[in-house]
Amino acid sequence: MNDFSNAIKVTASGLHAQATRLRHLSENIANADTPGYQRKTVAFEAVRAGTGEPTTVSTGPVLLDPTDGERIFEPGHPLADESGFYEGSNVNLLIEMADSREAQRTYEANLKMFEQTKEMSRGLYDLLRR
Amino acid sequence: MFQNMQVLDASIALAKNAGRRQAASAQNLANADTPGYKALRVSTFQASFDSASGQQIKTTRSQHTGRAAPFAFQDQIVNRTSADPNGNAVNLEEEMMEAAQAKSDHTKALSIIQSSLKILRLSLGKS
Repeated sequence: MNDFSNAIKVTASGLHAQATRLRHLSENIANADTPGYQRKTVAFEAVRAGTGEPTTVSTGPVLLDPTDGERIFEPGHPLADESGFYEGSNVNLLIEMADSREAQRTYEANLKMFEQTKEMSRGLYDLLRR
Repeated sequence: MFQNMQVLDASIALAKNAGRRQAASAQNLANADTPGYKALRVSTFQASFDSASGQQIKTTRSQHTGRAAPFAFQDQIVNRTSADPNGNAVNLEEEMMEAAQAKSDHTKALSIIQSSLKILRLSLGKS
């Protein structure tokens, strides 16, 4: 029985981590046209609680991608410098979409695992019923 | 009749093993995107059954019941070479497969327990 509660705990941590990642990805996508915006990235970290405890997952600190943003030529823009360029965001929509696909896939796998664990423990309880 | 209890022992061990395997797959799936994470594997029931059945206590009379050695499971950390660029060694499809297998083993074990209990109850004169 302890295994099932461990599994549910671990799965819940996975769901939470993927949801956090998806939130940062949608922030990046929403700010794809914001001048000077740096895309946010989160790394996953394995949390080892001790022997007998499951290794849960959590998101690490939010980091900013230091690469330079796209230089856009628009002399009439209020942020444009003397050469007529201004710096856009460094968000690459393709990367964000691919990342969110991966997050979705893992999220769904975790959700399926959650349901399956629930079903298994329900089967165990059904033994007590006559 | 009491020899039959070994059926219960074995099926309980199978259910436990299925639970452990399910927990291991859940952990692997949760860490499917964690850099440097190594997949966890629990040895199958078949492997532990084979190693345990050799250590059964010998009985001198057929009326004596020999207790089988308890089934032991070990967690193994899988070191796979074909890891992702970030050092993660979890294969999503393999884990889903493992979880499905654990689920079917668990259902199997619970069915055996249920029918054994039914037989016991029947032999006690209750329906």
